[in-house]
Amino acid sequence: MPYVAVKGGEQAIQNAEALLKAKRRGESAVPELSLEQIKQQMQLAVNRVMAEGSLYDPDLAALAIKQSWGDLVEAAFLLRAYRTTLPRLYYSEPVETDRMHIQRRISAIFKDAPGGQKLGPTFDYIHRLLDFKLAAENNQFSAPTTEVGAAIASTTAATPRVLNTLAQEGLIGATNSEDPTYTQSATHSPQLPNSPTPHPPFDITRESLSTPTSRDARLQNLARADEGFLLSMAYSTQRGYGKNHPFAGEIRVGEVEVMICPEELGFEVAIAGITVTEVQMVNQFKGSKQIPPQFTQGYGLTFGYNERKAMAMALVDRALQAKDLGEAIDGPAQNEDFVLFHSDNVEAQGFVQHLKLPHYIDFQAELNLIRQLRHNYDQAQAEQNGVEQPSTNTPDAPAPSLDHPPSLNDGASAQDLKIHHSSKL
Amino acid sequence: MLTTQLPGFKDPVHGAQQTFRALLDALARPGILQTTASLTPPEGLKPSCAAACLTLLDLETTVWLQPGISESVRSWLLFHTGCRFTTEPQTADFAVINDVETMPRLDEFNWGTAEYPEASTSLLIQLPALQGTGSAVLQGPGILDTITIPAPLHTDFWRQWQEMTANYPLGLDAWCFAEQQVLGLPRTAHIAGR
Amino acid sequence: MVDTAQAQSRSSWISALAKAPLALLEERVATLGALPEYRFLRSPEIGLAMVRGRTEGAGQPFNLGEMTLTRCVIQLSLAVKDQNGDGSVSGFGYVAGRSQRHAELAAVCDALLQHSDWQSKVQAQVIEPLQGAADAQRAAETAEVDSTRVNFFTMLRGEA
Repeated sequence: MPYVAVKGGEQAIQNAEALLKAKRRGESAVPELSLEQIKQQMQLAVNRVMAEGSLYDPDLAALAIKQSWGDLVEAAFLLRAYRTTLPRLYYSEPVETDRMHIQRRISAIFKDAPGGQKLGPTFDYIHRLLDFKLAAENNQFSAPTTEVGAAIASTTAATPRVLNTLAQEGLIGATNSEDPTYTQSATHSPQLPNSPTPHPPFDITRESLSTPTSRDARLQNLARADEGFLLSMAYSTQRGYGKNHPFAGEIRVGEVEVMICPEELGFEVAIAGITVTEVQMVNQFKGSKQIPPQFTQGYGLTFGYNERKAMAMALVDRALQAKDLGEAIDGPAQNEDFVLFHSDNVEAQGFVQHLKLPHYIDFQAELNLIRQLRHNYDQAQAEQNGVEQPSTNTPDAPAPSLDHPPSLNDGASAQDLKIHHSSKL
Repeated sequence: MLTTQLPGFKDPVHGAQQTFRALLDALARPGILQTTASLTPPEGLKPSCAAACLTLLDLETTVWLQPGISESVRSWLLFHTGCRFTTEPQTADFAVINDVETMPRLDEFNWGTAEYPEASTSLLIQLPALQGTGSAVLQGPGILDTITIPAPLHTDFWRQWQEMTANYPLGLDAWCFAEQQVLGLPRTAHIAGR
Repeated sequence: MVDTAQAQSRSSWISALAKAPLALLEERVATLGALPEYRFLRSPEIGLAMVRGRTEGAGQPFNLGEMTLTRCVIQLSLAVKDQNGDGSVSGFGYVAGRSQRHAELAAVCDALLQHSDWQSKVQAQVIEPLQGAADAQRAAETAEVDSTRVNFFTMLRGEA
């Protein structure tokens, strides 16, 4: 039965919105949050909203957080809705993360990573104890500095990738930036239908995704996927649902230039520096008949400083390569259909939350069906017992207790059913 | 450098909105003249057709220009819309036609697929004028009884149009432009009495 | 086609103008005094750029997500001829975010930088200070980040 709409309730709906706005503002004696405060002091929330909203614009993300009363999924939804109102004017050149202006860079596999490790601003190595001094206002903190001099010159140069060390030994499926058509190293994989891309990368905002997917489509999907979902999927691989022995080969956070090449100009220009987080996971691979034992990679790249998300993305990206590598698929994180079609929180929240909207007519139909099934069931039971009972269980009668509830495919509990039935909706 | 000396809409948002509304109404009421926003077009484009191009074309649309349309039109469109050009009518989202006498047959354009009939080519036909004795009588949705189309389109065009409309929902939608005005020919408008 | 050296210097000043904080750009442009008249060839327009990355940072490109961008093209009025008699200089502005004012100022500066009467003045009073400020900020950030440079020692028996 199709959804049957309702009408009415305009005044209540308007008042509910007005009430929301008032509650969101809080007491008028408390100063209102400014977007600049959110942008600077809630920066990680802003980053998360930009990544999941799939739109890099810190001002808009801060506005979305303020408007959504701090609900980050709602804020991501607002950004997604906003982006649909704008024309797409350009495609950037792929960002060069090699030449990132580093704000943080660590490796868990080589302590003497060429280029050095810099912790940057991080919660790692800090006790998770509530800092009650922070509860007071007028906190002043100053950033530590070192005399750099020579280091400044080095920032404009590219920072070598940690994984190049493994590539030089031929122990990892390396990629070759010189080759515009890009094929994975000959030792690495059987020719996948999706690995070389002479054509532009797949765009999930323009074409609908269908499995089997290519890695470019997967990475776009994962880059805007819900962080909580990715984190759980990643964790499941570590607990044994598709184990692949990951190590954090390299994590880097910093600013990269976005270059566009407007046709009317005829040459490339940088329009901004944006902060991104890049994670390269190294995973063990025992090899197959065609491929010798080596390391494989999972890749994570997100807008903003979003380390947990980028790490989870890299683990899930690696898990999703299982089929291409001929590995057994025994965990949900390796199932691209499961992962990619449930990763988007804007879609997911919409479908879950739509259940709140009036379904009165749909439910009436459901109710009638269950009453009828119950009636038939009771009659069959009675006949089986050979006892001729007068039927007291007509559809209009109060429902008896449901000791053996029929299986309900709509998720309504027996308790719900009883309440609705007795209140004669 | 690919550039042009001519601006687009003075007020891009409202110019595009006004023109979009005119294009929409033109298809909703086939054969009734609508007026687009005004602007100074490059040599070779009617003002109304130029306004429609600015409104409908962007980076993600592929455009076929009838051979003979000047280079200044091409660079103006590229500059203001960023559209892509093609030489294959079959792959075009939009086709700009300057001369109906020499245009390709209608079936050389893309009629869409049963799954995505809206993926068809839309024709932007420039005519010397939109007046005079009508060249065809059409009927269909949005037309009360019948309407006489005041466009100088030749008999062979209408014969092809009639063949095309038999394939509904596949087919082409078209707009005809002259000066500031536009009239719409949706694929649902067919020759009256057939 | 475009002269390579000219394109390079132009690309570099267009980028400096794009990355500048708006307040600083306004301040520097104000030092130029009265600007010549200009008209919009393309009024400031807000849109999106799809930002791309590469797998493993070096492989196959993929779409990462979009960013907001504002672009604008202006043309100096024909009355303002430079010594070559060339007055129809157009300037292009491409800036991240949604500031129409920023895009307009960037486009005006780009046009002036192509005009021989203005080039050295705008270079000295706008572009160089912007680049100086950007370099100073970068150096300060580098100094902060460098204070967190870390050397780990493994506690394995036998290792020096």
